[in-house]
Amino acid sequence: MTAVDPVTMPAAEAVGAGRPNSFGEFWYRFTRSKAAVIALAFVVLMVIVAIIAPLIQSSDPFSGSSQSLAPPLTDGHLLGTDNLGRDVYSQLVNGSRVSLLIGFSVAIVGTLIGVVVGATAGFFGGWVDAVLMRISEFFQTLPRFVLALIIIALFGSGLSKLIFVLAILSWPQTARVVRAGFASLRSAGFVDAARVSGMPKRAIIVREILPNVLASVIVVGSLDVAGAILIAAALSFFGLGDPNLVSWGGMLQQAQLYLTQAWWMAVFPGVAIALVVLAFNLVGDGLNDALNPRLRDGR
Amino acid sequence: MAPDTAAPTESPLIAAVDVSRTFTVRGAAGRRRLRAVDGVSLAVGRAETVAVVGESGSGKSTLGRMFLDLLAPTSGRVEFEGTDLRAMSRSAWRRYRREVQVVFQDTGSSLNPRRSIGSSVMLPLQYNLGLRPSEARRRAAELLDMVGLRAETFLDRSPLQLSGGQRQRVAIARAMASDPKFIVADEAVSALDVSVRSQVLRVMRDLQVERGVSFLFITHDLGVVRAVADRVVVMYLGEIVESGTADAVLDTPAHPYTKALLAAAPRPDPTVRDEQRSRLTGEIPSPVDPPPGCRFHTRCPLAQDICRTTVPPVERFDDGTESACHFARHVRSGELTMPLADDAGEATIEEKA
Amino acid sequence: MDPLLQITDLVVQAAGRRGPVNLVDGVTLQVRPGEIVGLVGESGCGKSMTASAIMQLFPTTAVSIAGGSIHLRDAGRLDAMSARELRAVRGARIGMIFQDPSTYLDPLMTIGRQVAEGLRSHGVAGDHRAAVARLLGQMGLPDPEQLLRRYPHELSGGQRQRVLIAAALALEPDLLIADEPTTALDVTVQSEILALLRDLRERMGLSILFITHDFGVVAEMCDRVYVMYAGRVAERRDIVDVFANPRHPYTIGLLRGTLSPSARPDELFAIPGAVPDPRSMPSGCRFNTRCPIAVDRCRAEQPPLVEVPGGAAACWRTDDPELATAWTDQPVPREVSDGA
Repeated sequence: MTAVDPVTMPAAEAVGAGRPNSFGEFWYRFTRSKAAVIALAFVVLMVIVAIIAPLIQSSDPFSGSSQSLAPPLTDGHLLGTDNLGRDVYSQLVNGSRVSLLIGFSVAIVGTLIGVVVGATAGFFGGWVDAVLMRISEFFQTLPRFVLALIIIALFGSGLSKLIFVLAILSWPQTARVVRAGFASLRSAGFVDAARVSGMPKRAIIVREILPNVLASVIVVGSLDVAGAILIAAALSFFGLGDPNLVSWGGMLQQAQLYLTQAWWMAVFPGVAIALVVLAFNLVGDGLNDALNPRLRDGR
Repeated sequence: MAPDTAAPTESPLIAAVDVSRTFTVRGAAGRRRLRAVDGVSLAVGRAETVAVVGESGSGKSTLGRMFLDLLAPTSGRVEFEGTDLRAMSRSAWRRYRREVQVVFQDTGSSLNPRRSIGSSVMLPLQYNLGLRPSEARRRAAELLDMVGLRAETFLDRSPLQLSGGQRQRVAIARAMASDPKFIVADEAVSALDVSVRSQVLRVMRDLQVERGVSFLFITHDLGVVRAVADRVVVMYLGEIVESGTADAVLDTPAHPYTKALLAAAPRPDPTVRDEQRSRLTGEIPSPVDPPPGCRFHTRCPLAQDICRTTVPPVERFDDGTESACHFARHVRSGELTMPLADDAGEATIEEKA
Repeated sequence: MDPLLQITDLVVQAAGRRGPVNLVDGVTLQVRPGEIVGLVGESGCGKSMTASAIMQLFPTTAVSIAGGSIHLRDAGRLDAMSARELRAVRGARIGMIFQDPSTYLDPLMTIGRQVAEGLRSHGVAGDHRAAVARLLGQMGLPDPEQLLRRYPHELSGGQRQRVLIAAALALEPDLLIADEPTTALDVTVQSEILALLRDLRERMGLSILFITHDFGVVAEMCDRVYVMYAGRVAERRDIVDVFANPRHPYTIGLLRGTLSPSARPDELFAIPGAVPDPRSMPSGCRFNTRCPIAVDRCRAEQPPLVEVPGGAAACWRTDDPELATAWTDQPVPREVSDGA
């Protein structure tokens, strides 16, 4: 019953804006945050580094040399070597592959599960919702780290097991967000209109409601990546990572005994982890601001 | 018992037959049953406009949703062209889906913000009519032109770029896509400015004149009722309290609630404002716990003992007006006057010589 | 007598993507003690912005006062005040109520605490319960002692609005700004709230600046009215005069299109077109693109407010006899232009 035209900002945006360029709009809003843009650039850089790692490494990360514990800027070893003479720079560059692979895999798998569960729970409500939410709560209350430890202790370490464990622990977050979105949009006018237009329920879920919820899903997904990278590094640090792969966490584990002698063994992978996690968080924030437009300060 | 509105002489296009709808509400006192609609019968004929008037808790929107098969009645039935919606064959129901459409209130979420205007209008063309995308797009452009929005400009716009009046025109275009016979307009013009409201009402009126579309206008605004409705039905706490032609009900109301609504509606005429007008006191009771007897008695300035204990019968007048009030004839004739705002006294029936 | 509130040539600007946009563009209005003044117009006319400007309660920092002055008697220039000075004025001299009562009440605080908040923050000492209970009773709320302990969700829409009015008037301000206070309420409840406000004016000598889009409410409440269009005042008149003999084509059109339960209109009249985009206002009189009697001068020069009986109107042709029949014989086109 309210005659609401919120402020007149939308009026100023409306009319005369031409064809809606939804990506252009999104990009404009995203780029308003310098931090988000820089973070995105960093992420892209990391992805490129991970892809071309073998091409830019200066030596085989696994082969040691006689030059052990060489400091950075030693000839041929930009960032120094570790206790076995392995080049730190090469390990760093290769380690990015594992980190990003884990991060993205976990986020994708977790998101897929979360969307299916959340959409079902949110759209149908009732006992379906109650049951699914109890299940998701159960998974949420499991302490991630401890569970990972247990599973790896029981079944051995390995990349795919690691991804599996982290994924089943991260889907509840997405599910909650999706469920909330569906529950609120389920009674929106356009959903009723879609029903009256003859759209079957399945199509309504996927083509009417889901696109409106995706924005939140993407934001949670980017945070999932950051979280997964962090936990994976922690697990490797405890020696539960895959020993056949170079990883930043593994580097940190090696570095423990040499902290005072060879600071470069710990600092570089540590900074790398921190920066990547920070970058994904900032990208997530930027995506949130860009995808959920509200009346904001300053235009 | 709710009055059975005077059905049109020919068989009605769509009719609610003694429908009720109950919801279970989980409140502080445990589970309660909320009777949003209670024993309502309402028929709409071809090319006619029926208004359903009421305030919060009247059940008018729930009734509208039952006409649209967005909600099933917990008892009673809705019939389209004589057939119960629940008993329809698949093809009959699909035809019903094409012929019965809706225009909702402009709340900002009546159009999917992620779809362009054209895409929203194309939905019924693709699903209800099974048109191919290219054909649907062409037809959507025609529909936008029909409601006065130039297709080249608006087809690919986002709803966020449109004003309220423009969005409602789009909603009408979408409703008209399958060439329906009946449209439920649920507070379709409530959120609009004065001049835009009239523009949108004109579009709807033209559709009725040109294509014989019937409308069920759900509204709280008696000015809109007077302007567009042939017949009107007044609802209170899930029941119909009065029904009849718009002019009859608005000129000579036969129920105290109708009188109160008319008295409360502000008139755009400052010279009448000092006239004493009757006002209701108290709040609208919760539909979870409706008062016994006549549901309106807790706020009715004319309530007598019988009103508190006995459900009023339906009084039928010669002109087809019906009213669920023990004193309907007296209320209508003016013998029973509503106490004025400052009066503390009881109502009395003045005997006319 | 000095007006209680004097707004002169107010300009409210919003920072836009393509440069600043004036949402209010030179508005002058005044409220005298004990008056109910209406500020009426359609969406986008700037009426809410004007009201927000008085206490500088803008929705975002992108909106600000860019010109003109707002003067409150015995307080000074509100537009030049610091945040601290404004806080002292808010509540004590000016109260404000808004459209949707639910969004202005904290769901986690009892009614009693919320109404008392204003008293507390202005340093009123002592137990506020008695004062608040009395205030709630004065607003027509039943059983006020009980109400102190209740939460907003336990109240109906009308009751919530009464609570907000109580909170707004707790410190007995001289002026109440009411921005569409009854738009979200049922019509029988609206009638009660409007009666309460009129009653408060009688009892407390309260002045009210009443913002609405509903001419019926204007007719029932206001002594004088300002009709706004596209950020400017189109007409300011005494209440009887504006309805009996409107002197601006926009006012005439609005009144003609207003629906009332009293009588069925001969035809559904609507002013064609739509309010222009604030970023691309027409030159001259802003209404000229939709006006049936616009002439060249209207397109070239913005008309000033000129005196007419009972007020003033901003129209070059306000004294022209053709004004009275401005809208008759006007075909209302089906098609809507881009801006509609």
